[in-house]
Amino acid sequence: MSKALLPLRRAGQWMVVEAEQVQDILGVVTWVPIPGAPSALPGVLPWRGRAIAVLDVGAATGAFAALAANAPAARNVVVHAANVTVAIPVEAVQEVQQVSDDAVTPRQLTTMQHCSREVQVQGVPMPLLDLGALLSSLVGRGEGA
Amino acid sequence: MVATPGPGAAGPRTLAVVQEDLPWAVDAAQVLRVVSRALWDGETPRSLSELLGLSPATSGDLAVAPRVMALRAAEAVVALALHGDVTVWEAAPADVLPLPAELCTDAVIFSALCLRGSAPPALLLDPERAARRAAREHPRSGL
Repeated sequence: MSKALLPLRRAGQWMVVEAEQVQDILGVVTWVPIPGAPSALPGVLPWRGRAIAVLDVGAATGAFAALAANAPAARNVVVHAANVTVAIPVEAVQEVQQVSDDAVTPRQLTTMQHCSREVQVQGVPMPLLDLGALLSSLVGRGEGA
Repeated sequence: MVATPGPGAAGPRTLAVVQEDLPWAVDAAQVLRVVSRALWDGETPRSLSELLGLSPATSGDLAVAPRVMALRAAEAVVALALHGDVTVWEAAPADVLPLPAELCTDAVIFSALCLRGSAPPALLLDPERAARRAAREHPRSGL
């Protein structure tokens, strides 16, 4: 069995998300900060006729600096997990990587929260962001809710 | 103000848009009055920044606000100090995007994102949420 993973880069850090959770990849979109919103979900952007929350992976994982408001990202990866759709502003994405299940190992090099596994992509170790767990923790819902 | 369809109506919505650092809007049907600060005879208006937790309100901040907007919030009235200009925007239903459920918390006093063509989007203020937040976090103390 294999797994399809989408590498994305934020604050110079490459990580991967499961490609099946990716709904769309947008270009530059200015997101709107929402005063009072949780730091991990600091704003919204319009997508397919509705407003979706912006997920700040930096704030959510504590791995790097929070997003700067009014600084649109080069790419916005729209993902759906735990019954929540959010956009992840990132600097870059790569093409989807097909890796064998064996290549996904328990984390050894990363300390990012919500990344219990990692994978080597073209020789580069990348944490696998567990979006289901992350979003469930943010919105207080079970993944199957 | 002009009589308009209220929140939830299917037709276009008339919004009063306030051009401040953070553009925000409110359903025109919920606007009771916009008056000069000098003519305002109600209770001391709130600073939106204060309600948003962005900065504490100061007497100077409120004094320089040229106008006051009084909003209907269920049985209550919320008076906000206005620093920016107020314009009217006819928003098509597709231009008013409700905020996702995960952002509808007690700390958020907005209910939707309003798209305005090439102009920066505005956040739609929910006067009832604003009133609840004001009562909860910034109770008046002899103002």
